[in-house]
Amino acid sequence: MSVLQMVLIALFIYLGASGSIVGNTIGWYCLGRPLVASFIVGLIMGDVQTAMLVGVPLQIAYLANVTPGGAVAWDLSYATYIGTATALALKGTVASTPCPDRSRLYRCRFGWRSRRHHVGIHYSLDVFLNRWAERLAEQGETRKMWMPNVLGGQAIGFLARFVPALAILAAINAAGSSSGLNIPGWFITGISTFGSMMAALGMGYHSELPGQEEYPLGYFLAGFVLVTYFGLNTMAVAIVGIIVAFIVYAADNRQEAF
Amino acid sequence: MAKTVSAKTLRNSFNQWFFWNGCSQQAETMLGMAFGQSMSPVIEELYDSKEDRAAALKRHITLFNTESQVGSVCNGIAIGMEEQLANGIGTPESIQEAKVALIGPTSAIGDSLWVATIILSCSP
Repeated sequence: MSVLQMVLIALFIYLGASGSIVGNTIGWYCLGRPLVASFIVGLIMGDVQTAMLVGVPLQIAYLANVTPGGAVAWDLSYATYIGTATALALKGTVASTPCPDRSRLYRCRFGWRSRRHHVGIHYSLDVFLNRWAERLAEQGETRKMWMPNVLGGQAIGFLARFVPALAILAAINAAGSSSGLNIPGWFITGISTFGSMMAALGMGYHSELPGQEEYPLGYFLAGFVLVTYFGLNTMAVAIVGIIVAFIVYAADNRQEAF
Repeated sequence: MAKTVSAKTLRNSFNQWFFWNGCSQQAETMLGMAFGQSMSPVIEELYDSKEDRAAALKRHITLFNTESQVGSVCNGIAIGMEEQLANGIGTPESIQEAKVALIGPTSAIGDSLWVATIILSCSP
């Protein structure tokens, strides 16, 4: 990775984090999604195909990433951008396992670590900005109300995301360029196994989302069997799924009418 | 003459909320500062005296939290009620109560409908 690539990725990590300067609709809910993140990293690092291979299982793992009240504000952008960048930077360095498995290793590590990082720094330091906002409010300064929120909040947000992200990327780059990176095989096998389960965990969490208490697991399993064991085309099964959804919806409405 | 909020101010307020709603989310007032910021152009237009502006700003930097996209309905309702208050209808407390009452429903609808369903359907 060149310095410019590292700075660009760190900048997107900051923009894709929750509550960045571009707003949650563009930042957290768009730039922060794993598939978008890996696509951007792929463009920056010049290998979109490998980046997307890393991004797809990650997207499924984080399928149910809803953060009500910021209560579980895991900074997804840390896991996705750094995870993908690590996979691309170390591609060819660790030769014993195929690429998607190897990338899972880094995703797991950074994913869990970044969650604590965000809650700790950003949520605590921003509290002091309230005193600033209260002072401005007491003086009736309508024109200056943006200062504690945007200026203060983003100064802390930038420091808490961009700087550590850049440091981690620099460390990964150093590890990637040194020839003596020696990760034992058993460790990669173990962490790859856990990494493979992440997608199932994502689906499991998704079935527990609010409003989906009666999640039809049967439909999900039927689709799984059709694709995996019957060898049918995923897109065709998805369309059949839409047809079934329409029929079930119509049948439900008819029952209510009587 | 009745005081009204102009379309330009409404757009200004919307933009400030849309882009900067999460800028300073923290453990004390959650999105309170961002809500106060998005209300500031409206308050400036409706109230002339410094005391009135201060009182209005103070009631909008208190604890507020919602799913910020569907929850922008709260901003609209708060702006409407501020407009009425500036014309002598309603009380400051009723605005506070309406805001607090809307936190729950807009978060629940926003998180399950928008975040957990629509964004999910679009992203893979």
